[in-house]
Amino acid sequence: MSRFAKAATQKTASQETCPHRSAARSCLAGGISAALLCAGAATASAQDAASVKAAAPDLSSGDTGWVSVGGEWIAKAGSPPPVGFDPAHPYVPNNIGKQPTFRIADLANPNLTQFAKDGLKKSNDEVMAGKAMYSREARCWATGVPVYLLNPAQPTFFLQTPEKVVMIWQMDQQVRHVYLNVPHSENPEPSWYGESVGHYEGDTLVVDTIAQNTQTFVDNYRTPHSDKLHVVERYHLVEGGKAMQADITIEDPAVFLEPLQVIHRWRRVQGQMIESRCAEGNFNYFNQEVEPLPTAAVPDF
Amino acid sequence: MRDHRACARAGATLAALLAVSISGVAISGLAYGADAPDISGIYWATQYNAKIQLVGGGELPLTPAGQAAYDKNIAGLKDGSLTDNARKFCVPDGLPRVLANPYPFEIIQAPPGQTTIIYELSHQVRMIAMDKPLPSEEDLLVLPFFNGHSVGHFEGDTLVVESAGFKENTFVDATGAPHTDELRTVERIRKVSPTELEDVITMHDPEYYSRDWQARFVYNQRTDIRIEDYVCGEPHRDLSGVAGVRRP
Repeated sequence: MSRFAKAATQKTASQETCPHRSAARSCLAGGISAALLCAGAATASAQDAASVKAAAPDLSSGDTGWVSVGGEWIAKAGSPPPVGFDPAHPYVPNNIGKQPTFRIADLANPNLTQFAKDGLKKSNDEVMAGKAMYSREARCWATGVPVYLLNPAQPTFFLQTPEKVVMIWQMDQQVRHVYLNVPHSENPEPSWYGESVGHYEGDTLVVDTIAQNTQTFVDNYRTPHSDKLHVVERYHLVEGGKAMQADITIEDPAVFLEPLQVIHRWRRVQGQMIESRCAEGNFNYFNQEVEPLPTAAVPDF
Repeated sequence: MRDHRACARAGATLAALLAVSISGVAISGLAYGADAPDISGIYWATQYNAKIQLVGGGELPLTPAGQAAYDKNIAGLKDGSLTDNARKFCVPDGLPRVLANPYPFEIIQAPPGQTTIIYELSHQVRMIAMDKPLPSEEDLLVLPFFNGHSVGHFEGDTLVVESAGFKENTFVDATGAPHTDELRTVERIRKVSPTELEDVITMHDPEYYSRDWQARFVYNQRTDIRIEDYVCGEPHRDLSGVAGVRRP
């Protein structure tokens, strides 16, 4: 293990021409799956690589962070459609040279229950009435699972031990705990991020989440969910380790007639996590009608 | 030849890295060095003091400037002109206040080269870079953190954590004791029994304190609880097991 930690410092080694040294650097930067690909570049003294089987994905070492790509769920082939925008009110995101809009959901989505449509209509009405419906994480609220995966702009860091995986979104230090190789509790108390248990299947981290409170949504359109929400995420590296993909099943019979099967991707960045807190300097500069930040009217203790 | 030896070393390191990854044990409990002491786990204080308690007793050794700042904070908190942002908006408490808090925290010795401390209170996270120097004075000045920038190393069984680059608008404790942005701290963290962790912090802030002083915190290791979610203003866990907590 200390050799692994020491190898990490070789990332910043000098630029000597040395095939093994640069291979070690790029192997480490590419993570464990890339290291397996690098097996061919090793010297004759290396371990016999014939017995290679896919090892658990390394999502954490070398100051690796993951930046979310896009804010909409992308349906896999065969999945019912996730909630999208009302064609009469197209969603225009930020930074594309046009006046951006807040999302207005398409209530004609064929996969929604009445409960889902009622919840979405409520949000749509608020947008139509002129409320500035910034996303929940922009207002510093915990977004629950799976919307945690859509946390934008700032990277998410992973910690991995044999017992657990922890995810930390840099902006606001939003933390999720995943307990490995244990079953769900009998009757977990509902909480903002629920109870997540997980395990590795070859090169994939599988996470199963239940018991979330009903104060969160399942997408950026604010589709509500019930206490029956069940989310499975399957994380694996793609693009030679430069990106990470999660295949996600979103199941809630109170909301969706059939479970959604969607994917989401992140690109890898490297750099130490910067302490960043959503509530700091979060002022309503333009006097818009915004949702309040989570605030303690009375000190907790 | 120098290049040859470096290449051979890198080759051996690559082989070792591959051996570790191929056998699938790259993700290990002690991701930071198999020979490092294991201080990982969940810890929870059994005693809370709103006013910081000095090692050796006595009052804070405030300079005149420090006393003036303290008086200003006390008056502002009393008349409402100064907000306790850590309690109202749940921004991080800063050091040493976060060490005194009555919620559990977790130490995770991962990923390689890092010790991570996750506090349940306001989901604060401290990442401690192991065996690295602190950022430059300039970097600390332009990008201060609520809980400071931290680097650490082991001395025997003790994790020594040096921190600097603090935002100046946190309090030393819940009474509003002050510090400047020049504060530097050293913590010595170690297991003092199989089930207890101790953190002794030395505070160095000469503009406000005429000498360095220390506070000591002891926590019980817990295997029966998990760190819970925390959203500002929402109900949270029962703290009746922590003496000295008063809930308004």
